[in-house]
Amino acid sequence: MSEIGTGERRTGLPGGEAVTAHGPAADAAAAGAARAGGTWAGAIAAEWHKLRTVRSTAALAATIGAGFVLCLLWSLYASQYWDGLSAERRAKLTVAPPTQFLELILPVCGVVLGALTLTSEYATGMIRTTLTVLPRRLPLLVAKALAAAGGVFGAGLVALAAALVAGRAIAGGRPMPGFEGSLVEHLPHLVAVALTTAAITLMALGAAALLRSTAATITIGMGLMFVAPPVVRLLPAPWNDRIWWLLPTGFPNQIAPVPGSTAGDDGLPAPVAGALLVAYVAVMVGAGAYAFARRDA
Amino acid sequence: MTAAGAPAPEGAPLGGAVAAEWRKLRTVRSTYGVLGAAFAFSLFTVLLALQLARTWDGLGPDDRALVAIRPVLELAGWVGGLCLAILGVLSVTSEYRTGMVRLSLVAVPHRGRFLAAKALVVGAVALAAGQVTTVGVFLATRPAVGDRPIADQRAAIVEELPGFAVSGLSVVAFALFGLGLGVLLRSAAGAIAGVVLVWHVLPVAVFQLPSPWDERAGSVMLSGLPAQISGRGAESSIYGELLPPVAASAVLAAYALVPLAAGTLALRRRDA
Repeated sequence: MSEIGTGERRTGLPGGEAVTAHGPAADAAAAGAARAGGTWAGAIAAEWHKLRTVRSTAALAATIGAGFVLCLLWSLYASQYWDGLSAERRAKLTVAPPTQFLELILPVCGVVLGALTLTSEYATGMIRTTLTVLPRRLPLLVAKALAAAGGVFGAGLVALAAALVAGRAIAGGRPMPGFEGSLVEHLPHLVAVALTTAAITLMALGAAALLRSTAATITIGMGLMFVAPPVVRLLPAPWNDRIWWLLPTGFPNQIAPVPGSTAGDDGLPAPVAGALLVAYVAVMVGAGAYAFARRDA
Repeated sequence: MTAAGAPAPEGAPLGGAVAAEWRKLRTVRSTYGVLGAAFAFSLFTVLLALQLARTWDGLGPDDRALVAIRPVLELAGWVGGLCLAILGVLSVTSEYRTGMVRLSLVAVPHRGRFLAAKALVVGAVALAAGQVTTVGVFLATRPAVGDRPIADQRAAIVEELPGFAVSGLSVVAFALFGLGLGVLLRSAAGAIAGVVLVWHVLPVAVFQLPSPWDERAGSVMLSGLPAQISGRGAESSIYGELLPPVAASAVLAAYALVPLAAGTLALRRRDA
């Protein structure tokens, strides 16, 4: 960049080059930001552009797509299974909802996306360029958070809704639990799953700002998500239940359970689970923002 | 050690490449991170098991029959598998991330030898770590359980040891699986996500399939294989128990070797 900006000064003093190198470039960046509507809008547009154009986002989108296909297969299989059952076994049957596979895959995607949003720039060194263009740490982190969380929330909600609608179409009129009822009844659960995924993405982003390493962030995220639950179940009562309810992957069922399911019955009340989720995000992103603002890149 | 510094001539023995890989592995920080995590978790499961054994003392006969210590001990090997798989992933992807892989391939241009050296070193570390997280945890718990006749702790140590040693071998399979996936994907994020998928997400998803597919697919999940190899069955776990020991051993080996073979092919065909 410096060579482009100082092309006409090449004949001048060698020392002058370095000093003036960033002048025109910084001016151009500032002008660009101003044109786009100030620092915030420009930062968000830049982060959205990055998110949209990197290969890992395409891989994550493909993963969510694969989850959707698995959901379709599940709905097909569940419908056929249902047809072969007697009336009394139907009454006792608990079927996983048509969105089951996506609910399993989305938090994993959230952790990976939240981590990569920041750590991929550290891995390549591009974070230095980013911070040169946008030296204020907080707007940058907020822009990253909005792009990543917004993206995963939108993609998750669309995939979940598509899986539900398709699953109900496949089930036809069969009164299977988890498939029946009006769409409006199902909506809160889908929003709760998508919101929890967005929150997990933000927590991963906060951890990424603390750790600055893709491997460490994803490993710790996956560890907390998958190792913590079985370990917590083994703790002596009453702590097994108490800590179990605090794990964020269970929040969607506590905030808004699948209509007709009893999954979230003995957990926390919905407002408490929602408040806890917000608190987790605030703590993780806050700690990440503090570290990000205090450290050099 | 000379091969680590100077380019090895074609046809040189594997020793130099192995020495170089060993030096890399033991001098990067992440190795101690994952090994430390596996070890710390093993310690934690020992404490949980001790606590469980002490709880047992205060229970009535009916409740005592329900106490099982083995599932607690098995958690250590399960987490050890994840940790060592990540070690396998990082042993390759960290070189791609920093670009050091180009230098490594200048020093060891033969792709098969390069990967074989990595597999030997990662496999050996995983073998040791795997036995610590399985056999080690079992031996550490036994004295504390003492002569309490807890339902799943009555067998003699010698009878139980082979089963735990086989569980330790699955940690090696995980490590080599991670290594193969790392070579194929050349990205820590992608390979770690893939490892987690095979390690836990897939088994949970498969467990929710309607029967008989839950049992069939659950039988070929990596973490469920050691129990089938030592003929223990999969009582109250999410895995199946349909495979005879020989078939289960073959599937375990395939988990380790198929990604490695695919990785070797990919490494030969692609430029770094």
